[in-house]
Amino acid sequence: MGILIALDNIEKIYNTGAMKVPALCGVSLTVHSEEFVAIMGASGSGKSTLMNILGCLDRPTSGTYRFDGQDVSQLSRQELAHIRNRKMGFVFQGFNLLKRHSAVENVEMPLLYAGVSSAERRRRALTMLEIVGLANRGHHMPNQLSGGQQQRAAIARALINQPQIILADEPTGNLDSHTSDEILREFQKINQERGQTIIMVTHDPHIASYADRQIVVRDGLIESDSTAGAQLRRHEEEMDGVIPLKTSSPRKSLQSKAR
Amino acid sequence: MSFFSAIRVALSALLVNKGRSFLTSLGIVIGIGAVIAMVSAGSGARYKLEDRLDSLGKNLILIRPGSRSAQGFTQDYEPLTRDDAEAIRKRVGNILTGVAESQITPRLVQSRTAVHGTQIVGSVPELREIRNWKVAMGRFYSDDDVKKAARVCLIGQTVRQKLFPDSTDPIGKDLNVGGVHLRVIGVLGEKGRSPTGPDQDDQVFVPITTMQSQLGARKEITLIVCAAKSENLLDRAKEEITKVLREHHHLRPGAADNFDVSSVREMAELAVVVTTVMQILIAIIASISLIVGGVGIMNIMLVSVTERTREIGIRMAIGATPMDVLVQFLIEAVVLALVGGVIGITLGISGAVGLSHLAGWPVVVQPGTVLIAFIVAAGVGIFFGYYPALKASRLDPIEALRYE
Repeated sequence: MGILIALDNIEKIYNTGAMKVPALCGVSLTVHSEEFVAIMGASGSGKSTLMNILGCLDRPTSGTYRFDGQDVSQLSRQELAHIRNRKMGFVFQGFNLLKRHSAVENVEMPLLYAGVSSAERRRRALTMLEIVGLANRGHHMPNQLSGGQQQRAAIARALINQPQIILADEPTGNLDSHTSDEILREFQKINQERGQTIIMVTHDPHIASYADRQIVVRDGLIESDSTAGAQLRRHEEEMDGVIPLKTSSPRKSLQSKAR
Repeated sequence: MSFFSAIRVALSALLVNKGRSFLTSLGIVIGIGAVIAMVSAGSGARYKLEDRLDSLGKNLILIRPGSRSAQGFTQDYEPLTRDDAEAIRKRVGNILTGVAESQITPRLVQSRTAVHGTQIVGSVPELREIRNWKVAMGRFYSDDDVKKAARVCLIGQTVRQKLFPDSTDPIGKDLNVGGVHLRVIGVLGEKGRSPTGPDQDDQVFVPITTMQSQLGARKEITLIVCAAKSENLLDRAKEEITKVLREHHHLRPGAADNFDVSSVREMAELAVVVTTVMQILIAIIASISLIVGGVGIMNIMLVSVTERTREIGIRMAIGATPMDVLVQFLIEAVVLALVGGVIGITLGISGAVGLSHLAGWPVVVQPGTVLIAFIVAAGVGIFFGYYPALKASRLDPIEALRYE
């Protein structure tokens, strides 16, 4: 349960020729492993920029980012690619599966870039598809899968290299409410059963409430960072009888660390 | 990503749009195919030419009346005579295997059953040795026959087929040439076509005296044929012959020759130069086609990179390094070019075989040429595919993921 992510005074300024646009104005943040965090914010708040930096797709203008104990702010493009490959998994709003490859080929792709053998790749991909409930759909093309199934395949792809963290950018944005719920419960499942750390970006507080911790970003800064939303939701579910009443929860120990 | 996987990824991407991939590689196919076919044709033609010249006799020297300008036109015509031939025989004979003056006219020849238009060659017995004629049946005419202007003749294989079609024995039979009867005393062995084209087996050989006295030919000599004893004596022989003839023709120093002395070897060397120049020209033209083909590949790869911007972004997000992306697209370009090269080589070889059958020269396809073609195709792929691959590798993943 160590510290996985440590952001210290991260700034990101975009130079668009004539103007300098500040997207992040000094963000500091700590995430421990096994946390399920939601980052909320309106569009333009800087949440996407924050996500890009967390995902090593972009470098901060200043400040340090220590991921899994390593300072990644000044790494080369090549080294960042390796980190993304081995230690991160991405889930996108638009699923972003390669359209000309089958589900299993999509799922095994991170292993291709990790240098894993063909047979081993296929074996692990099929196992992962089972875990997300797509056991019989491995050879379907993305256009033969429903939105929810595509996102499950994307989740399988994100998990296949056993990453330290899953980064999900509006993962339910293109799904109906019922399927959204399914996917979010999937996230909860892999967080609770596999201890997978997840950071999810959303603009919707209801979706954010599926996570244990909600961080609100506004105008390039963190406005609030609490576990209140999750507590409320759990309380609602306990009242509805969805989940059994618990007098103590291992999750409680998270609350003190989140501050 | 392992090299082998990279090739498979590249191949699957190319197979997505087979039509486009094929059309793109067409430039390479044509360029390589043309080079292979034409280089092979040139080599085959040269081979055949050398073969023919060999059959003519490598150390042969031909002396003709009238000098020849660079373009091959006749100027300063002064006829050659038997005296000229005798002078050469006396003064240069020691380094020659023989001197044979010849007179050649076209005539109609009749046998009992057939008529055929052919060349009558009036000469001396030395002609047989100089030109390496084999006597298949009977005998060659002798010095005695020449002295007596005997009415005898030898016929070539083609003449025999035309005049004695029912394969009767021609020896002892009579041939009628313009009213004059000649008795066939021999049949020559086969020789085939001369390098300049005419069928060497379509000739009738008679003593030169018979030619001039009985067959109504003028006293002039068409040409004097002689052969140097060996290849290194060739140049010396030519010089001495020229000297002798200039004296005999009373040419003052500074005046141009009014005769032409050329060796068959010179003609062979000229032929080699001509065919080589043609091969080089064609190779240059084909190279232009290769460049155009390469530009085509670069163009299509640029389009492909733009089309697949989002895909590149996704690959980068899941861990493809810039090098992974560059290698992927570079391999696609190289595979395109190599497939074009292989098809081009195959078509080129087929073309070479087809041309050989049509033209009658041997199929000459050197493995070296094929290997070079292969390497050139790969080189074109690498060179023209590099820029698009570089562009792909430099895409910003975030921008690429946003691309529609």
